[in-house]
Amino acid sequence: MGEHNELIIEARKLSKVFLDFWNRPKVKAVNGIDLEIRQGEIFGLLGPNGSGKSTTIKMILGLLYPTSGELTVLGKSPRDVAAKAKIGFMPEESYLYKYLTAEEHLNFYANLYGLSGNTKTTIVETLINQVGLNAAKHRPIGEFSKGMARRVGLAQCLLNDPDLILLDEPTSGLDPIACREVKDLLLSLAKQGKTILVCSHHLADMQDICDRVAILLNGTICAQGSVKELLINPDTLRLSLQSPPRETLSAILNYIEQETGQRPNVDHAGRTLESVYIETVTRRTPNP
Amino acid sequence: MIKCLKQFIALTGLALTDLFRQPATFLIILTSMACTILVPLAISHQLGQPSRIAVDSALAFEFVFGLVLTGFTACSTLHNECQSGTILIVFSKPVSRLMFFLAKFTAITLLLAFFVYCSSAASLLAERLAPRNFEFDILGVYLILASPFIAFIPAGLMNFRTQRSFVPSALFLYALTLAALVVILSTFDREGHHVAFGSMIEWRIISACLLEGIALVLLAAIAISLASRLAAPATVMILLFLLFTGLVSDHLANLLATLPPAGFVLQMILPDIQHFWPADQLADGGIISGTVIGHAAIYAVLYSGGVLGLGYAAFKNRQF
Amino acid sequence: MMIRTLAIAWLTLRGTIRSKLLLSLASLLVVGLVGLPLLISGDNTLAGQIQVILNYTMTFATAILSITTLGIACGGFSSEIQDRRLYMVITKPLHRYELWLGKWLGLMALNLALLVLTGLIMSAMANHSIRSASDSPAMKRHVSEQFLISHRSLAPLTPDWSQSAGETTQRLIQSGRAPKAMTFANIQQRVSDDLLMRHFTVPPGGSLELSFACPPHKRNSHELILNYKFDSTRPERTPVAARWAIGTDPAHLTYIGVTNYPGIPASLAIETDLLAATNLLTVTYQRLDAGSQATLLMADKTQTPELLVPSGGFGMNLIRGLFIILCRLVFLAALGLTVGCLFSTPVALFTACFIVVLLASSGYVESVATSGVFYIPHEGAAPVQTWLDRAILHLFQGFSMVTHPISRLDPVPLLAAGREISGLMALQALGWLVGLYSAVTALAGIALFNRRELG
Repeated sequence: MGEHNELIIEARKLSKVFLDFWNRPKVKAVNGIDLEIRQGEIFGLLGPNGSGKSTTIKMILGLLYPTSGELTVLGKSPRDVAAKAKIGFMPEESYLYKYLTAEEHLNFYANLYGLSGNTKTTIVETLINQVGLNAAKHRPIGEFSKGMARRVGLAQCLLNDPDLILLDEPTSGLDPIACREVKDLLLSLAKQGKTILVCSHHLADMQDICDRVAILLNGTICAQGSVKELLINPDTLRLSLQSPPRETLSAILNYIEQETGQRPNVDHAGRTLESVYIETVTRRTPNP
Repeated sequence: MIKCLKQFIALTGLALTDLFRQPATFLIILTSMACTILVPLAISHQLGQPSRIAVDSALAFEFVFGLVLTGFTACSTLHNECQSGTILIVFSKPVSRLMFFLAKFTAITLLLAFFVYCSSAASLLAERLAPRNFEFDILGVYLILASPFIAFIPAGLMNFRTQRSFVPSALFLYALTLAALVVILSTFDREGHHVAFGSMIEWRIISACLLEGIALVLLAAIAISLASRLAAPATVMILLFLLFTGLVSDHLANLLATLPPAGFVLQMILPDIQHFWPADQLADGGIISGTVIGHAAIYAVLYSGGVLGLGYAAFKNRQF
Repeated sequence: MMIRTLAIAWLTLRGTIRSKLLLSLASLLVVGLVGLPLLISGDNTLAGQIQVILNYTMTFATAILSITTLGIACGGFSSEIQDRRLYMVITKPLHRYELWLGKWLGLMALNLALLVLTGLIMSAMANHSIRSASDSPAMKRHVSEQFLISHRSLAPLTPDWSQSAGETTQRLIQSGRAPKAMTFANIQQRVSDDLLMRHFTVPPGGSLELSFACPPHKRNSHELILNYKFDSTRPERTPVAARWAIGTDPAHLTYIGVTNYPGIPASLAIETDLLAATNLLTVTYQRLDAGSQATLLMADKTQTPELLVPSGGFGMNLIRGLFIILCRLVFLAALGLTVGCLFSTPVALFTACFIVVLLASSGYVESVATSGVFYIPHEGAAPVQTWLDRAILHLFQGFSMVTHPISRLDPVPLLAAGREISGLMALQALGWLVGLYSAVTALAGIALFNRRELG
């Protein structure tokens, strides 16, 4: 993580109230939240369904307009079109045109960013390779699986080399290896100074990549801070070592019990299912 | 058996509720009513025979708007469900495709029954409101112009207080208002004097509307069968084409007679819409007899059965 | 801006190509344009067949393209908002007006392609029908001269009777013979109409001289066509024997004998070498049925005899006609996109159709606005306005101002009758339909789209 100086997203008392036909408040989706996301951070928005995560992202993108409060993105109003040139967005579902191919999609979005000529061709080809769609780049999106469509979604999000990347459930629909690749990609982008706002239910993924997170509930932020701060339990320690002989272990435990008056829990260090899956699939997949 | 019946009722009920809540359903029905009631008033002075024009145009509006309603609802209830994926949830339950298909058809038929009821009431009012000797039925005009407010204000209030959906409430209240207007105008003459109930209303129109309703059910069978594979524009286009061929069926029959046997086959396949056009039979005091309606119903049932069979065959093999 | 707008336009066009919509529409147009003249035989004459090609097929193509344009335009935004594809586009550095204009341009490109196809098919069908007809070469030439050349309509020279109409009106009012409810202008108009009818009245055995000031014209080229129709004062529709005398010098008159039926339009082909050196054409209708009792009324205020003078080729006329239709489609696309910004696709389509029907009812609107009453009382009764008339009249008058330019810019009847669709008319279509109506609709659409939240 780089120096967290420049403020990329700033929200002050941000609220969004949806009204009914009679202009009466129907739902208070976001209720006076304060948010500060700085350059180079990977910031996670967590929360149960209906907690206001998507509404917040849509306000940051200028798709929804705040009812009250202030919101600046890259120092400008979210509705400022120029600011969008530095933003990349990957929605929860890849909303793509089913008659176009992956390459045509990326060319189309590149045109919207004002890219042209060799620059456009190079960027599009690089991204197609990066998301692993080279073999399928001429197939219409209508024939794609959900995961493949997500890869197109990710590629279009990176077309403009954005300073701010907004990702709604970025790993949804991806297989674990693609998931790992996306997480690695996000970490490398953050190292390059990109700011990333991720909104997801996959807590393990968020834990893997986020520097800071905010937990939203009923439109308000219940907890906010760095992942390390939130996860660390300062009163408890974990000791890891290669399995010693039974007698040595017994002696160690007895010693600890004598010194602290507590009998420590002992179990085998487990691996995550993700690491097992990646190791297995990687081992059995022949090299191209 | 009872379980199947329950499933069928549940599927039909859900489809019908969904159709009634669609704003487009509301708009189509409402515009049909507005055209039926108001257009004869507007054009009658230019063409003469205001009463006949009122009835003919009312029947024409019932046909055209009924056709649009049929095409729209068939696609909305079947094709769009296939596209959006909601059908997957239904088929993950122990529901047969045949039952699902027939339930959708039944829901459209019930909606059409409601539409025919509204059209009948509107047609009766249109005939009553048509000017006689270049004089308006002022009482009727006042009442008919007030009727949307009578229906929609309570519906709006219900929506305001209980957040109940405006569209179905407004539709049902408007249907009730039209029925009430028919009853009121049945007991008064054009000068506002009390008369024997129904003596001032042309009840013959109801059987004509019913005959058209049967044609619409036949078209609904075609529409739902097409919607099992096609999107709304294609479905409506084909329905309009069928209506067009029905309208020029005499000319078409002569043309097809010169092309045996393909012409003969085509003539047998295309629905004979002119059997269901009642305006000519109503003219000059004629009535649509029960026999005519019965024959039309038998034709519609047989034709619809065949079309639904083909539609189901197409739907049965569809992959999602 | 241009790259982004064109990217959206190209996307819209490509969507129609990939979804096979363009192919389906093109096929439908080919089937309709070729099939309709086969299905509708007209009056079994070559002229009737050409009229079917020009009138029915053009109307068919216009209707299909209008419906399709409205359909695609209404779904242009609403369907993308509904399935959220627009999220991916709107979050790019793109102004909403660029998106709006891109969709509009894409639709117009589609329409342009289909209109070119329509024009080519119509042109080919009309030429083929004339070439392959079994009629005599003279008849083929006449039909070709009548329909496949554009003509300008000339009215006969008539005296200026506004002064005498004014004096007569004054006299009627002073003598108290004019209805009190009528205004001076109304009475003067009635008197003028009456004078016009008297001018064009031909008694039994009588004659009527008509003079037309033709524009400078190339001799021995295309023929001139005199269109006329008369009604009889007698209820029986007996034919009238007459002749047309062409020219002014009694020694060099050219006579053409005719038999006319009351109420049925007739036309007369006149060779251009009969034009006087001054480009003045004088023709005299001479009745040969002196024993008849029926007076002929050669004209009413809406239909006087006219001389059709060749003014250009069919190709350019067709192009101007198609251009006006394109202008109409530009407006329909703007309308569809605008309502599509606000409503879901079916509701948008419904609303757009409703507005189009309102605009299409301009004839009725205009009759109400000009007659001053929503419901006309029976003959002899005083034209008393009801409360309904008063309420609706102002609304209709305002509405008539809106619909009038649209209704009068209809190229199909002109094309079908071999009339010239002038460059001025095409310019008016551009100005009114594109410059004003479409622009206002587009501005409203863009403003509404800018305000719209995409939740």
